[in-house]
Amino acid sequence: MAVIEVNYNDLCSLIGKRFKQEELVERIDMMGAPVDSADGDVLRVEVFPNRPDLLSVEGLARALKSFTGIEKGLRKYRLAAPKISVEVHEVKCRPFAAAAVARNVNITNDLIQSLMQVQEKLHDTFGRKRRKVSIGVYDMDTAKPPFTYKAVKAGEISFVPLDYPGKLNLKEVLEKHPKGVAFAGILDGVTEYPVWVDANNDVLSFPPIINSEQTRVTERSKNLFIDVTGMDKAAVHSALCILVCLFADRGATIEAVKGAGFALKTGKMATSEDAIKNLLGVEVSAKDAASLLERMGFDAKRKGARVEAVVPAYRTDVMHECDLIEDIAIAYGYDKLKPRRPMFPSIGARHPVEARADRLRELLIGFSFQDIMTFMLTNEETHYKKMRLPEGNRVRLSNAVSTETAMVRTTLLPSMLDVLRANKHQSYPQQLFEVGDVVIPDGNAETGARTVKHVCIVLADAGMTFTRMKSVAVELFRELGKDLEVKPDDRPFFITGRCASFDGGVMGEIHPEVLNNFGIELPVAALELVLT
Amino acid sequence: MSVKESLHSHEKRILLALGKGLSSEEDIIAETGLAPASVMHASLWLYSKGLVGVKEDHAEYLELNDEGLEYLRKGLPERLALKTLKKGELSVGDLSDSIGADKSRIAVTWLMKKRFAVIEGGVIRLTPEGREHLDAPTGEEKALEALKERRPVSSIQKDLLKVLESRGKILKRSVETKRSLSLTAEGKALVKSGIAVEDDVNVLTPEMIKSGSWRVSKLRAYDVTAVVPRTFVGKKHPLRATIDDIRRIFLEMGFTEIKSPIVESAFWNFDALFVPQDHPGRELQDTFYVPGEAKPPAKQLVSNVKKTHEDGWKTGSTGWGYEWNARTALERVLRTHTTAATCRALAEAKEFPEKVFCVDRVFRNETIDYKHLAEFYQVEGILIDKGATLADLFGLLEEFYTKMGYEDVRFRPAYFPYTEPSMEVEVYDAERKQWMELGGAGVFRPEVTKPLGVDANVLAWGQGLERIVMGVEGLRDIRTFYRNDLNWIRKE
Repeated sequence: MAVIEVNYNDLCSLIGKRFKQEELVERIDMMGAPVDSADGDVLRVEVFPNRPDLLSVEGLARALKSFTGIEKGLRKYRLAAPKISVEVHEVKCRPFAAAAVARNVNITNDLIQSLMQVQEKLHDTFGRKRRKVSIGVYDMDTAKPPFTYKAVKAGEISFVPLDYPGKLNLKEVLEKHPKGVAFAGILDGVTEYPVWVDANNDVLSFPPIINSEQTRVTERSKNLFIDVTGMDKAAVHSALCILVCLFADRGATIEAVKGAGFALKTGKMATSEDAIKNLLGVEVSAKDAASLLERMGFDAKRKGARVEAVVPAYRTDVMHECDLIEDIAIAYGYDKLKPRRPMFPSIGARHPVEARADRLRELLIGFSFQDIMTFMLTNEETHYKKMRLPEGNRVRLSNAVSTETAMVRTTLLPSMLDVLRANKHQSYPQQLFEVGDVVIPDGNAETGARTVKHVCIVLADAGMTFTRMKSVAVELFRELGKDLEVKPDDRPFFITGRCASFDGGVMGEIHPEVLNNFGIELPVAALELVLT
Repeated sequence: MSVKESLHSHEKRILLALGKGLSSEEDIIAETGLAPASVMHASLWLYSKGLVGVKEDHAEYLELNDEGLEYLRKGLPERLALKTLKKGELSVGDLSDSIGADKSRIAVTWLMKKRFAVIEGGVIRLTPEGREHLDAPTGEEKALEALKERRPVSSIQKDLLKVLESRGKILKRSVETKRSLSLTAEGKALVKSGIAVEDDVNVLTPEMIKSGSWRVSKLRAYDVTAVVPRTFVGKKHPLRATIDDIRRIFLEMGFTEIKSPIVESAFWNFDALFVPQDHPGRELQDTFYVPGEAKPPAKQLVSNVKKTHEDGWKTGSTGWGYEWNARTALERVLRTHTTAATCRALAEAKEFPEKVFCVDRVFRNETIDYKHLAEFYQVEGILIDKGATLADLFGLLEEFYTKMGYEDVRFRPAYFPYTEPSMEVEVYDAERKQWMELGGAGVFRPEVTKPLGVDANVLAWGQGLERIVMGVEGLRDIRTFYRNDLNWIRKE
């Protein structure tokens, strides 16, 4: 989730109205971008991934301006006729590129802050950490158009990257520049790298890694060249659209670039009174719906019972009629939409497995045993080695962040012994149980593994024996309406000769070596049962 | 009642023991065979009755604390360093690699302080003094050895104490109180007058009841204000108690409980929910993957989902506009949300209204800390019906959260990839005077429902569990739930 920092004063000046901070926060919240915190003049606003256009202060201000009714409808943006041109060559590793120009930019501190933030946030979220989309902004007057986007060999070309004392070729950038090191993974296995160069073949940037120092945007810059490259054409265009609108909102003239294939294209989406009622449960006339959509920055016209909306170029999240209806609901106000007491009669039921689990828990609590909940993720050390067991069939994780969580448990007992260890300084007797899931690999199952409910009981006290465990088991089975038929058995984690198996389970006295392995200092009797 | 009559048999026994000339509490315990606590208790009574005097001697003891014991067992850090240096000169960095950064930092400080070594150009060189101690114990080591067991401070040589104290916090002091009793003049007179210990009856036995002997026995009065041993009851785990409360609410509202596999296919966990295949939530750092593939779902289903992702299929959507990969959908994950369960329920729903819920464990590839768990519980409910609307969802949520005990509920616009409209549910926390985020809700997108063959609206809501219970219980560390500290559970 992206969180952007917005200066309250800057935001108010962009909206064109000075709201009380409290009211502004409430409006932003109800527009669908929760305000995390307000610290003095700095608001931290959470932006949902479907609205990258709100990642810029300018975009947020634009949305608020229509949402609060100051300037309703679609804000018109026009790209001036191109004065410069670019050539976009085939670049296999990063096939899509688009560009535009912003002239007469008034570079203020607020703009620079906003620009840096929107680039970073777009890169991180919408741009999938620059892999899908990356952005470059350049002082155009430091380079000589026309510009070219092309693929070059690593050693073919050198330049001074931003914040670096000397010239590097592209391979060196990836090895030595901090940004190169951070993002080299994106270009893994690539033999020809993407670059933007000017008419003198001087490098403007090495997407998606770094710009050249020469084209750095400073307070004295006036005219900017903006490029977006990436792996997905629609995403590349959306990002550029968000950027050019930002500059236009700050008073710059935005200009097309010949050969860049970029235009600001609005979209279309329609809905109807019926569809609105069907989804929201309230009657909204087509006329009101059109007006509500205008509050969300759309142009909308009523046609009979239908509403046709013009979707701003930066609103790529509008994929379906329901997206339009949601915006109608937001403008209507979730707080004004009256909840209806739902009348959908049906008869509820517990899941049979959970109902059995409930019954077991109730019985075991009746024995005065304590209900325990442990993690399902564990490791081979605890699950097998400490239990004196060879490693068995289990579900292992391909990508666990911690060696503690390498596999999913197939039995509950090891976790219960861990709990006894953790409580060895608490008073005894300790009589604990868990009713929980384990995962058993099974080639016949749809996902190759079955989730199975187990019950495990551990009884720990000085003088604890098999007899006590068996007497509990007998009573438990009797309560479940079954006879307990046991036969002598053997498990490495139980003392030989003090272990018995029965229908669906096994019980015994824990082997002293296992107690040592877990660091338990009192005898333990245990039982584990598959709950079928 | 005279003083004599008021005496408890324990008090009488102690008086008799004192009459024999005993005085220390230990001796009295041995003589009377009473429990230490009983002797203490009774002697306090005797004191209050003016029959005995009590004298307390405090002796101070010294022993090694955990750190001191570790030094004794494993050797002082500088000893570890000396052992390593015995094999030759080392750089500071090498030493750190060899015995660990913390230990090596302490070791180097002490080697220098004791003039056992000097550092020249990052290399540790032993001085003659240092070489002398390669095999011979230092004063501190001798002192540590001398304090292997707890000893009275008075028995420890002053210089030894000084050496140990200079080493920082490796000692633990404790004070032991020894009591001795003596008869007062009144007490002496009483003993002289003769004391008969007739056995007070502590326990009313079945024999006494049957034979009627209780009539002649004296049933001793208890100190009903005394502290008693604790009784431990068996209880539901605090998290389980909340889970069961929530399940009960769903059942009361007519919802049916469902379950789904923990090892799930990406298809049910993500694709069928219209989560694009390049969505960040699917990345390795968020989702646990399991090697191998799941069996493919029905062909028609796969085709519907594929087309919906690509161009919207018949859902009226534009789709995501990328090429959907069927193999990616077969990847196996540990379910990341209970929506995987409701999604499967959607595909199986035939008659409406259908109302199902799921409270179960989900998994995320998180580093566990006080705020994050790699596995936790989620709660999720869906209602499927034609004519079910956002207004009904609001009504459902109000009903649900009122049953949970929250009086004020409000909804704030939000975003989830598989619902539209989407909202966060917030409840008013009267104590903290602020709105608290509880969960998410929304109406499933047609891109989710139509490919699964559901031609109706689906209202859905869900929330995590641990954080909510943390708020209620005032916990600061989310790991508390799975530590199963009996001290905590028994108190809760």
